[in-house]
Amino acid sequence: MSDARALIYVPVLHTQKEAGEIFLSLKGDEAEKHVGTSSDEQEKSVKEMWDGIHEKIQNANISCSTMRIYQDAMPVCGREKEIAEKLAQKSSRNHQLILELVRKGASLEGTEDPELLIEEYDNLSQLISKAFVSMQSYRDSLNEYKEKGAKLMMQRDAFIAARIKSTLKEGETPLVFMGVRHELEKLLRGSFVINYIIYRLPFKKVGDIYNV
Amino acid sequence: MSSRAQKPSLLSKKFSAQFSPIRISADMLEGDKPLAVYEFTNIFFPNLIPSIVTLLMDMERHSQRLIAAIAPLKRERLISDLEGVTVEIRYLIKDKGKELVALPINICPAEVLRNAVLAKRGSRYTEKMQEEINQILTSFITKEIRRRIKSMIEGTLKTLIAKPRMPATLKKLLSLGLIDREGRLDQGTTIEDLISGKYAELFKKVVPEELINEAMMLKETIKACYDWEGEDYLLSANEALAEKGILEIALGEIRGEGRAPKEANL
Repeated sequence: MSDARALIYVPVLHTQKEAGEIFLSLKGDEAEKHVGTSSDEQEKSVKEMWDGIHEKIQNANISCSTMRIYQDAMPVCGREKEIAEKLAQKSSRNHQLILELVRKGASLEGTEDPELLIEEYDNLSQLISKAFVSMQSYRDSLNEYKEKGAKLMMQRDAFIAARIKSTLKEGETPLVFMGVRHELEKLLRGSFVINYIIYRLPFKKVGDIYNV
Repeated sequence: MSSRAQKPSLLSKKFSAQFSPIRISADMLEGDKPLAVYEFTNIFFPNLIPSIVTLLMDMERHSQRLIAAIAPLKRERLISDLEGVTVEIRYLIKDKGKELVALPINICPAEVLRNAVLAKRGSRYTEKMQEEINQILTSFITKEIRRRIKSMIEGTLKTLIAKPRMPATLKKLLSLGLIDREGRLDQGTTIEDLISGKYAELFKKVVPEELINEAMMLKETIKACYDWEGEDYLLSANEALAEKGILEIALGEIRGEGRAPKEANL
């Protein structure tokens, strides 16, 4: 038997609906860039997905008081809870779930290096500035972003993995919410037995794939 | 800038208002209907869709050469006489009255003639649109390959479950709810989970290596042939916006407290 500790990994995918809600709550000009609107069906899928993740976490039979939460894009800053609250208010189901777990006794840990997040933010800003010119322009800038982003993502993942290992206390179970672009699992596999909590992500219909 | 600057794209929501050679109901991809329709079409109308697309592409490609042979005066008269005339062909597949696949072809002869005179490639069947059509067709193929792999894996698991001495890993899969007693995979499990990701380690122990390799090979084939894997689209424009939005709020919170590590362009 391995002595490795269990780690719960929740792959997170932002959906159009969620993106829209977060963005509509932000400044007007950028919010206007949001592509398309979500159908009732999409809205239902998002709700189902998060309800499913919520249920699976509950069924995992882990006491919240022994749970330490690590969240994608959550900077190490001492104001993690306030950030989660703000995003929860902006309809992020991900952060609403985190707050619920925190209220039940879970600890929310600063997860990412703020310097690297700023770099990511600048890269995303550049990508978005070109994204709405045309599909081709978006594809070109996406390729550029991916090239730049790959190295940055590796740095982010390395920081997160080290952060989890250094902050996790004896008897605690890490609950990791990470976007699908991260490849954190590779860095954690040696130290943890990773259990994935995946509820059926909305199937990538043509409409979703093509952002219709 | 006039609206003409906006190139027609199958990816655009407003596309049907401009020109829409192929429209596919996304819901259709969920069921078994596409395969049945595909098989039926292959038996009774082999190469129907490729033929129509090829015909349209050829029309565009060769129209300049054909129309150049018409005397200029006659060409002008034809353009004038054909102004406002449209040729519409509809190819429809319906399921209980609900449109599954539509191939509405709208041709404006005057526009075709005018473009040919200007030696201008028609805007309708550009390479980009062909690429998009390929992507849509690829999504069908991918779906079908996934269905087949899933079915193969489930068949293998069912056989293993029926054995008197069930492998320990299989028991673990059952206890985790990743498969049921019939060997069916959990609703949320994807082929990627099995062959290269989430549950790969567990499944590797019970699913024959050849099957995993075959699945990997198919996946690689799709990627190589079409240079399309789906992941590219995960980071859609909205995904990027959401990430940026989240970072903006998170980093803004630090800055508000005067704790930002350096000045971000927030």
